[in-house]
Amino acid sequence: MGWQEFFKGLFKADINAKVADTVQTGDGDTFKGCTFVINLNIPEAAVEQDGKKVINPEKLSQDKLNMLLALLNSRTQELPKGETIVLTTKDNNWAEDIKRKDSAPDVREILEFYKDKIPAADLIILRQAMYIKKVFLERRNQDVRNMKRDIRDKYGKRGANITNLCTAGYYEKDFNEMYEELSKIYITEDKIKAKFLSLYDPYVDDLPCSVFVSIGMKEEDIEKQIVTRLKYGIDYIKVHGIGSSNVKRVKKVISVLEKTMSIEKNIIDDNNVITAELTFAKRQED
Amino acid sequence: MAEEIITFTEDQKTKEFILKIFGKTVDAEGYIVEIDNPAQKVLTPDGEALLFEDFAGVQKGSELFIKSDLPSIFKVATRGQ
Repeated sequence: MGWQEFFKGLFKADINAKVADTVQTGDGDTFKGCTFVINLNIPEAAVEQDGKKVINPEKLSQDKLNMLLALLNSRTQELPKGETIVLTTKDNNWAEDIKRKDSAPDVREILEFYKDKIPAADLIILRQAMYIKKVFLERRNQDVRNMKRDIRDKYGKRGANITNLCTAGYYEKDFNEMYEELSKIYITEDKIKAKFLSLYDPYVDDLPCSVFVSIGMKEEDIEKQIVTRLKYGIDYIKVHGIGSSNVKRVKKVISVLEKTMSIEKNIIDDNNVITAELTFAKRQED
Repeated sequence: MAEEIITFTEDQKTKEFILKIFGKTVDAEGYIVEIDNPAQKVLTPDGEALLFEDFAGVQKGSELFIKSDLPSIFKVATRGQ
């Protein structure tokens, strides 16, 4: 007994022929390349809708129902571990959308770049964040909100930060630049990766408190990023910059801010890689 | 994913039918439980009790119940990649 026997006579003659063709492309007993939907709300036992075969088990004869249950049971027994036995139509469509977007060349390129540079757990989150970004670009805002919640529920604050950094383009530009700049300073691959990780890791953890100065950021942009954080009550801010011009700009901005604010500083300038920890005293109006 | 795809619609009646095939039902709080031991909640591979409304499907495991959230569906979509 197999799917071919189950589907025999279920559909109208013309559709039945199509089903038989589909079955024939397999080994006669399996159902290769075919999708069918179980739906208990259709009035017929079997119907074709939007190119899919839809079955209502409640409307099947007892023989056919027994056959269906036996086939589902044998599918459960025979499938390799991890294979999907059944999935809701909605989640199957979601999985198909993920597969399409995940295989896009720009996604593959970014994942390939970071695969041996960031922790494996971050790479798993980044892969999902890249998908969220693609959905975001389609303006599916509610889906984005739901998926960001899923990421936070599963991976916590770090997951949420990686998603936000990814959506903001940090993995395409800023972190990439950070790595390239470090490649100019350090010679060995191990040293570059270690230094990169030492900057990347705390940055991802402390995202709301961090400002990363990338190439092309003007002094006023750096200042604006710091002031925005202060506006929301974040009074401990870490500013990161790589390369002599970025280091110079970070120092200049700090000296400008010091004219109007009281700042406790801890500046580490190692080989033109700057990390400035700034603690701002509470302002009078606060 | 397997070459043949069997999906089911998200309505309550169809989801309950699918769960019944796997010997599961839904308790008063909306969690999926074993029919023959309703005190036993079904767990996802992450050890999380699964609400009926979050039920996405079943993977061969022996029995892996899939939650309808991004990390779980991502795992389904990218299996073996």
